[in-house]
Amino acid sequence: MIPALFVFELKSLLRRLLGLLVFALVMGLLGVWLYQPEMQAQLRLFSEELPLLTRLLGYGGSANLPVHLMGLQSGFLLPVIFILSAHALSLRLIARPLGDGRMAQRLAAPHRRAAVLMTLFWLLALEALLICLAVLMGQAAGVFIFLGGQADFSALIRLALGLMLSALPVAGGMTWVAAASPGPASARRLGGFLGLLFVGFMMASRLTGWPRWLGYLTPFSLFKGQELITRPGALMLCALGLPLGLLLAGLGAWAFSRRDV
Amino acid sequence: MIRCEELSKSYEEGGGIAGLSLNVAAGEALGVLGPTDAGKSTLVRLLMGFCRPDAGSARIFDQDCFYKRHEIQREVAYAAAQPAIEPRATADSWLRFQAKYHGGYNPEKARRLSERLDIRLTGQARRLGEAGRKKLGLMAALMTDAQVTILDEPFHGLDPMDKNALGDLIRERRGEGKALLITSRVLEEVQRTCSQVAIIRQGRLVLSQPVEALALTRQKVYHITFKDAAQAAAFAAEWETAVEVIGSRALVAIPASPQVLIRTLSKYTVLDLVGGREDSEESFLRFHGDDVV
Repeated sequence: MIPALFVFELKSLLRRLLGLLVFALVMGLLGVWLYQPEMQAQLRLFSEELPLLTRLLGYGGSANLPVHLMGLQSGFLLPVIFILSAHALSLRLIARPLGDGRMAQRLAAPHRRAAVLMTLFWLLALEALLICLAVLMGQAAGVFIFLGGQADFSALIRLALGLMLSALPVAGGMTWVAAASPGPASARRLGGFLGLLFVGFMMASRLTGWPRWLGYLTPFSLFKGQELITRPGALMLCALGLPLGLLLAGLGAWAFSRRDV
Repeated sequence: MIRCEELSKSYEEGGGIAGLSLNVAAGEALGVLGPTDAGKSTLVRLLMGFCRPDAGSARIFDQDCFYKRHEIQREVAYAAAQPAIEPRATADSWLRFQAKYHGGYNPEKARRLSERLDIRLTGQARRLGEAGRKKLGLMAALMTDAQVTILDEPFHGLDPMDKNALGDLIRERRGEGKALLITSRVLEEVQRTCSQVAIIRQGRLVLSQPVEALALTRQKVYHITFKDAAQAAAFAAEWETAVEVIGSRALVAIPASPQVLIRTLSKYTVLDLVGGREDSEESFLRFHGDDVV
């Protein structure tokens, strides 16, 4: 980790992060808004009319607020946001600078290439953390605005933290792809393909008749929402996302140290 | 301080360098001259540890430039031919980052450099223009006290005033006992700032010598007018090398004493003989032939 690089890149990301965080905040707020009785009725109607789509998106009903939010946000929307943001950020921080000479400028300094890459990985991880925090804050605000402050906040925090930890392998994988690809275009293609694969496997594993093990091919299989809501110990499984993310980023650093820039 | 031995690097798309050997000692400035795609930037990239050589070795402070790059970089200042600067960053914030990231920020030196290179440090880097960004990259390299300085085409794109200022800065650095390696396409720039010159062509070292010695390698060119075209052709057939015939006139380039030429010409009827030494630029062109752009 190189503090000077981390702070400089973070400053250059502020505008992008701000936009993303506002979006995540609004998403959290909307999730709670949809938990009001009249909106729930509409959601039920929608899920009865389009059961396949509902299952694909991971919506499992609205037994209580955490279950409702888990189905609405953690089943599809947030994983896709994590994949897209990690892909875009890895292109911005790694692949494009490799193509336009900015990375060479970074490497003309007394820092190991691995340290440079891991610093950029931590920025990807930070973005995932901030998205989760913004969603959580939006949910908390929604609970106070629409539900009078009545909710199981500890379950909501566990859901947010669990999802963030499960997203770290995506950040690590995208870091690896961007660092090892020969150019920005190939990094974009390969990262996009990897993202599509994750989403595809995640959705296919929810369909009847399709093998459930397909879900284990995506990092989001570490996220067991139902268990997280009822049992704090389920966070341990999500915590595996951190070493897995570090391992993937480490493989990226290994490839990056050996390549021509 | 800088030592390359039989250094080779080739690319699938062509280009690179082959079997290049050179040395730069403390207090020396080596100007690497060559046309576009001669292999100058490849040499710089190998020295900076950006890529791994196919064969041979590139060493700075006797350490391998690829495997020990992060240790070498503490004492290496580098400016790219086209510095890549974050477009949204201000010149000042980018320089401060470079200084923190590389280590050894001297605000007073930075201020003096910005005055000498005439750089405006306020405003976003993208508004600086190509020359401004170039000067910013040079400033980032020159504000450090590194023992080795590598500048890739530092004069290209600068106006004459800035070229003069940069030339002074390079000479001052040389005077401080630091080693410099500078690439260029223009001989005059190297002659004004460097102590050594290495000319590369198609990735191979054509010539390496002190800048002062460059004058001695200049050829003498003689314009000879014969009585008729037949005599000029007969002379060309006899002389064989470095001769060009246009009608009854012949143009001969010889590197050494004209004694042999005079002896040969005594067999012919010579109406006129005009001689002179080719200038530095002609000498440089001779090494590069048609490659010069």
